[in-house]
Amino acid sequence: MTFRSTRFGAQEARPSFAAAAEEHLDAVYRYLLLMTRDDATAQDLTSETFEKALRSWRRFDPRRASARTWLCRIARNAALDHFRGEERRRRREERYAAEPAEAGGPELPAGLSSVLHLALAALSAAEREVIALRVLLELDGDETARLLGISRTACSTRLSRALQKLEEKVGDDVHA
Amino acid sequence: MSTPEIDERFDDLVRELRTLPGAPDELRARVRGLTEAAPVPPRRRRTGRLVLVAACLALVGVAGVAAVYGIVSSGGSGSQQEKAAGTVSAAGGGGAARGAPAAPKAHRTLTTAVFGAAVAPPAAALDSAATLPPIQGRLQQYRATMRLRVKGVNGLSRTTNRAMRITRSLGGFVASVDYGTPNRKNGEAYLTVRIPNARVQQAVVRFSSLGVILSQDISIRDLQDQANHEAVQIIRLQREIDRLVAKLRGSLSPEERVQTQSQLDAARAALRARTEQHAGTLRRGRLATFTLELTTRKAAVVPVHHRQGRVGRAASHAFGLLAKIVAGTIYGAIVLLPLFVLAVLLLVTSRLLRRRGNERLLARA
Repeated sequence: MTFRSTRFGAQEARPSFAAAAEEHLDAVYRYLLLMTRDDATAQDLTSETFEKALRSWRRFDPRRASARTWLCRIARNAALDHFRGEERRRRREERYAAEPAEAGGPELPAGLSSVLHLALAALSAAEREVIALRVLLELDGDETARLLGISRTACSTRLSRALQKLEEKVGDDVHA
Repeated sequence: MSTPEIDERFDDLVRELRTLPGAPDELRARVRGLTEAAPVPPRRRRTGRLVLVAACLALVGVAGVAAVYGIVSSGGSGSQQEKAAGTVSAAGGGGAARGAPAAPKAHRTLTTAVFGAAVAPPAAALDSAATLPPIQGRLQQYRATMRLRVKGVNGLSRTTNRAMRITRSLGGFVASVDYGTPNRKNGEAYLTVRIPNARVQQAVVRFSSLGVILSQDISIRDLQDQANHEAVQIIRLQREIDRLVAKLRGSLSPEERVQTQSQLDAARAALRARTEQHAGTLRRGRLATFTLELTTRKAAVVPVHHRQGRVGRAASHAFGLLAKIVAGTIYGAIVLLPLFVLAVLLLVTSRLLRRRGNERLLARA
């Protein structure tokens, strides 16, 4: 990782883009994977995220947020655009098709149990997102709340409910 | 294993979630290719710093413009001092007399006040007075009042005699003298002298050298139109008299003769009055009146008009311009503030709506 010191002695570390990409690629990918529950989509969105990040790297200010948080914000916007596009597509198809289109099943990569996989499918993207940020990326409560645009309390509540729901779903699936 | 704020009962779940694989090699290679294919754009300079520099430059520019404006508008020292010291007022001359020099002002006044002891050499007053010489060839009533300070009672006596000698040497005469020394230290003399208009400038020069000028007031009133008008009336009255005399020589009834004689007497009376008036006008127009006030006292404390030097005027004008710019900026800010507040409200509202829309979208997805 390369560092570039600032002039005014704040000594904030500003990594090179390549170093930041190398360090946070896994985190961004896993975040998007959990959000979209689709490996191909997550890869595409990850690639798109880093393209956007490269274009706007000069605007990155390490004093305002860590590189991981900054990249997650870009990834989140990319995911939101994806969900918007998906929703539009689904509405269009529902309007013109006699029957609702069958969406293709998500393709999560190997590593998670099928039970957890099914349980995650029962959660909303918002719930999966908070789990991804807090559990996978291990962001702290403040960073997560800032990223989601909600209060820290709301963030904690959402995480707790999401995990509770996930636990219940996993339990249900195991019993079934 | 458990992260703070995450209940321990979810540890198994958390552990399993963290087994989610990282980015595949293909994606890693694709992202690495991004940085290799396109160099990272150079970091843009901080906008805040640029704004600060631009604001400083703008301030310096405004100050520079104000300074240049102040220097340019302050003008030369001489002309401004004249403007500050003297008041010149003019009224239209009316119809110009036939054959008279072109378009003089009917009434001009120059007042110069010089306060304080020995601050103004006579030459300064002379320069100012020279700006209002009587116009040759036109009949003008020239009045000048000069207040001069002289040293001591003996000096007052000598100066009074000298003023009278100057008056006579210039072909004029002393109309009145009032000389008084209430005590040994102080005294005053008031002289009213008449000087031929043609020698007014010499008189101003010589009277100015009698002492320190404390104040002077010069007034010029054009009499040419009035004199011409009186001359025309005199000619008309003479013609009328000639006509009436001729009429009386003819055959008239007694009543007509009495009536004509009465008209003739009235015309002759009017002619006499008009002729005297005309003579007085000519006399006033040919002889200038100088009132000399000689005193041994220092000038009384009077409200002194603040006279600034060129630097002072430049600073004053520059600050005036700066004040206008600041006022304009404040006015603009007041006008634009509601629009700015509206724009901020719209921005905040749109962000709020977008955030809620995102929340709903993620809840559905």
